[in-house]
Amino acid sequence: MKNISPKRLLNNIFLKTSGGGGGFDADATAYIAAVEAADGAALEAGVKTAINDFVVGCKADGIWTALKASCILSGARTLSGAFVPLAGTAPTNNNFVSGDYNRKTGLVGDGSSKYLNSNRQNATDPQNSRHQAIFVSTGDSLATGTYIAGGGDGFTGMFNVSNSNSLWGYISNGVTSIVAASQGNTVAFKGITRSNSSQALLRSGGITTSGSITSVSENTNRTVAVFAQNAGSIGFYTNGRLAFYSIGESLDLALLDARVTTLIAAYAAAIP
Amino acid sequence: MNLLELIGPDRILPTDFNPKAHGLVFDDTIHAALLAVQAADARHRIAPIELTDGTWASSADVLTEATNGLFEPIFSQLPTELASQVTVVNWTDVLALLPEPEEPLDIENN
Repeated sequence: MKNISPKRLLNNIFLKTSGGGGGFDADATAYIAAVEAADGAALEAGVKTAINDFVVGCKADGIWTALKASCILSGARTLSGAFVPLAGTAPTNNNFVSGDYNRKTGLVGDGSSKYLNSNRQNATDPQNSRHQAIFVSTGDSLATGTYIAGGGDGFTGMFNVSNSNSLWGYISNGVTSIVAASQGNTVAFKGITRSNSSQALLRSGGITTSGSITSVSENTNRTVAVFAQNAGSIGFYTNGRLAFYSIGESLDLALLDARVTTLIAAYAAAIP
Repeated sequence: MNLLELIGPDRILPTDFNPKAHGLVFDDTIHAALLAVQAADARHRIAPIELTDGTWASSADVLTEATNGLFEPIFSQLPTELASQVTVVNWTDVLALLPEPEEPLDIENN
């Protein structure tokens, strides 16, 4: 039997229960370290535990590797920390200032000039294996505000369309959308995905809606915008507030919904 | 009022100024100067929007990041004199000059 000193045993127990870094997943540890470096200050133990639980949970669910470009736009102490990528390349901030950021609820758009360039091209993910997801803390109130979108013929994104009071989701098809009624300006998780050429799935309000929409190949090198759409030019900005986004390959939206929702709730509880 | 009149030669934003309620409007020359000092791979950018009268605008809240903030690398390279060529207006005046975006959605198919 291997001997372990009482001090080391206590340290192991303390670190694992306090969220101080012991026993954390390697990807979670790397993300936490990068956020703390950007913030110039340590995160609370509860925030770090929430991050670790999210990463470990996504891996257990088999959806972690589908997140190819993702930011948790909350939790961090500063806007710079919030732009540290959880996966993939960091976004480019266009016009957001620190006053737009809230640690518990995320980053708010102005509906006219502020957006993130995800630096993830819509064509990068396979035509028939892709997703986009967001967590909305405050819904868009404009006529047509885009939460996230980009592309050409294979356009992918999600809009609030207020005249029909609905959420429109496009995935590998820039002409025909899948629609979630009465979900355009609601809060919480929203996501769209497809894992084949014939069916699109849109999730909002805890309900996943399916639609028979044939995929089309993306024919541009446009990056996906967050808080706006990139259809060759940037437009249709949202004034909503987002606490999370992800872009990548197909995944189970209900599983990601549960993980993101738990993460944001844990942040709210852990942040003073 | 121009921006130099607002911030003065010491480039200090008055405490009673509400930056989110105001916009900064400028011409192509200032727009070009603003873009010229931003590195292609900069993580934080000021991206002005073009107005229907041919001028450009940014929310005045970018000024809150000018000193020790996200946009300091941009503002630190801009001569103070340029501020006299930037007009400070109410943000509602900017909104009135925003272009109508082209319809991106084929509503007939939804």
